[in-house]
Amino acid sequence: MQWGRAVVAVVLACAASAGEQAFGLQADGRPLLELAPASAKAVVLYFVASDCPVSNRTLPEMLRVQHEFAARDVAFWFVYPNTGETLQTMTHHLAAFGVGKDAVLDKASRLVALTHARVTPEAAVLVRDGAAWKPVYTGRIDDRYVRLGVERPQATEHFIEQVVSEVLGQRPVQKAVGTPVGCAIMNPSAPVQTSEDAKQ
Amino acid sequence: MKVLVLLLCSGALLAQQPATKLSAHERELVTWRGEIAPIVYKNCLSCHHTGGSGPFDLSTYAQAKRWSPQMLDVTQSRYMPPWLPAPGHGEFAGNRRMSEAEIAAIKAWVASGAPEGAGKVPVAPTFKSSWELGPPDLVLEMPAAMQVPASGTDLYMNFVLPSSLQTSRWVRAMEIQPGSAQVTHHANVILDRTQSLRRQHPADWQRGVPGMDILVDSGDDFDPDSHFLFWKPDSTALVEPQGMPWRLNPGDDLILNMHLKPTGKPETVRAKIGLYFTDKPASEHPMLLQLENDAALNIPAGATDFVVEDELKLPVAVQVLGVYPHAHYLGKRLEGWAMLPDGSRQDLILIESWDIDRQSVYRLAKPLPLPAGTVVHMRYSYDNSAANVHNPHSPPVAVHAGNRSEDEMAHLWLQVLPVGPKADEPDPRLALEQAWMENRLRKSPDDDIALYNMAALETAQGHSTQAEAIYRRLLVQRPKDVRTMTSLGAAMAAAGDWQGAQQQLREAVATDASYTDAAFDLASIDAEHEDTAEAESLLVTLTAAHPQDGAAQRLLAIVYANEGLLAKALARLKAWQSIEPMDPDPHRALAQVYAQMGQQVDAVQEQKAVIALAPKSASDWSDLGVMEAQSGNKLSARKDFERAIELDPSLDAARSNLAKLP
Repeated sequence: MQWGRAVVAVVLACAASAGEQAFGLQADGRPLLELAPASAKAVVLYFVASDCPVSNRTLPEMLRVQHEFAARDVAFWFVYPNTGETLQTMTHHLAAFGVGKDAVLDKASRLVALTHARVTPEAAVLVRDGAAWKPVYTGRIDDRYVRLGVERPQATEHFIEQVVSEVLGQRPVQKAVGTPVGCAIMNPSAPVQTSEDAKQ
Repeated sequence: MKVLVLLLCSGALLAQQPATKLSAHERELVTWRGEIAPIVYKNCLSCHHTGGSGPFDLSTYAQAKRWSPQMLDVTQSRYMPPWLPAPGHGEFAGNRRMSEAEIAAIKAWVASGAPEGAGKVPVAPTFKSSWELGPPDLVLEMPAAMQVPASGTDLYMNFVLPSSLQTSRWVRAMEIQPGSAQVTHHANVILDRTQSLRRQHPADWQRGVPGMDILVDSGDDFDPDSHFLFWKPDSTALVEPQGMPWRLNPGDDLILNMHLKPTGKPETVRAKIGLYFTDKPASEHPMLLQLENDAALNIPAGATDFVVEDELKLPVAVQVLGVYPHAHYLGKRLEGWAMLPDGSRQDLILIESWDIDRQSVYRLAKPLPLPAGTVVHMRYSYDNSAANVHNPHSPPVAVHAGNRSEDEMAHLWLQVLPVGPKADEPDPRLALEQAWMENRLRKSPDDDIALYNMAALETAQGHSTQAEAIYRRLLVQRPKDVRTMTSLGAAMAAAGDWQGAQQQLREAVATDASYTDAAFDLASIDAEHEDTAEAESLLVTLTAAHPQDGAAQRLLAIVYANEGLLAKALARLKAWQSIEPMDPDPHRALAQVYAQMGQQVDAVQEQKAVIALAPKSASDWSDLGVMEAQSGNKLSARKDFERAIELDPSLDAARSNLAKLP
């Protein structure tokens, strides 16, 4: 794991040297410079992939939680972290799944590095830390998937919904439990990981 | 670290280039070009190709590398390739279980960074994007598309696909195109010979009927020909073994039972079934047998190892061709085996960790012979605790047998082929059916399906009195069941009590005038015993409601002919002929009626149509000769009689007629 994090740091250095300061590109091609206005109470990042079946099947739950909290000063971003994604695949995917425009192409893995997300789907909840945002939770969105090929008929725990409620209620935020299940984030900036790695 | 930085920043470029100079360490690596591509092509590509049912393509190195972490996960857990049977407990065709060496190779490959390696670029197998066997002879499509919601639990739907055939055909192969393979987890085709699902759901059968399992009415005839018609994402065309096509009759429905999985976005499903016909009728007649113990499925909430068992003694020798174990989400360990009369055991299947998402029919690699007296066993266990992540109920509740996915089932289907029945012996499938039904009644003495089938078996064997007794017993349980009332009437008629049968059938018609079997059977008795008014009334009503009922058109023609209403009889015979264009019988009857009416030219024309359909029928050639002679064409008549005698030298009528010609 330490090796992987070292790689992320090195690649970020590569990206920075190219002059890239944004979190990534938005659906309209503009760089995303701010995750949320200063008044926002939290930011939720959903790490997704246009070609990952588990990620796709979890999108309705992500959208449900977004809809629940959208009017309560919580910003949501659908983050596409894989190298293979392009603006075109991202916008096509957003339209096909009815996701809207709150998406960012994170080719430089800035958001992956910030949150230590490992797979799609995975979520991070961030709160203000001075001028920046810091993650207070990175992990599963719900408990529907136990491992690849083993899933509950429906989720019994809705972690992101609970965490955002805790943040808004200024209660202690629960720790992420269990192993995120899905497709490894494939980006040279993010180390290849398997579920076995994630358990360690 | 500088070297590492360089590698990472240019990683995308390096991935496109073949390695040229390899170090000793690199030469020892498991690589895509070396070991992995052949493993992936053999085990994964049938689904994981562009246009395939897998959610992504694994044809190229770049694609495989993208999914390499998941390949490691799913092969280590044996989630992929989907294959449930434990090794050493039955030998199956199309075994998809990967070897330990293959799994170890994938592990080593991923652990070393999924290298491409050197050597020739592997060439992936190609797959047809359309029908595997070429254009089908008949394509059936769901009457309407179904909208699958973006989210929610899995859906189990049954769609009725009417066959639209005009004549019976033998089906040698079938392929299902699910429309959206990403949504369709598996599909089962059930042959509904009596359109029973349509009748049970007249308002919504075109939209689809929910239910994981369905029960269709197989009708009153003993017609046990049955095949597994199961499709799953890695299935290609389902080709039946030589000599074992299945029969599709006019009026039959195919029921497409589909397991649909929401994908995260709304999807539209409109499946097609492609059928490939053969002119060669079945020469082998398999049947499906079922071990089950649904009655024992009373699984308490929290039970972790609830067991049900069943056993069936085979009265005749069979070959087992395939097995289909079936339980729902609580199924845990499923086992089937046979104890032979010599005390030896033959395992049929063992699934140590059941998963309905990966259920399948398993065809044996070669037929398994089981002698008469073999006892086939099943033993299933169920986990109804909260620890079973598949449990549909949270918290768990008591679960019983039922067709809904949240209910349970305990079924082990076997496709068997009776061994070597001689032509003069009774159909051995009668004995198998009887053993099966007796087994059901042993577990559930009031099992109405088993009782009904037992009565039908008695009827098929000519034991009308015994059948009558069973139907009467059933009527005590279901006094207003028009089907049982009708079958009782038919059994009474077969036993010689036509007056009692007539009375019984009149009660059936009075109970449900729309039940066509009752009306037809009553009209048949009426026609035979000269109650033509009632017969005519019943049949006019029946044919108005069901103009494609050839048997009713035929019977009404007979009634009219007996009344001397030959023009009306002709009209009905023509209707019958249009329903059965390949059947010589309507032409034969038309020829006879035309002859009675003195229309010899028409009679000859119809009789020639008979000959065209049945050219080796000596008696028909002789009849044609008679009609030709009556119309003055002596030369043709002579040739017809000579042809009849050539086909059947013992046909005295033809000899006698020939002798009468000048």
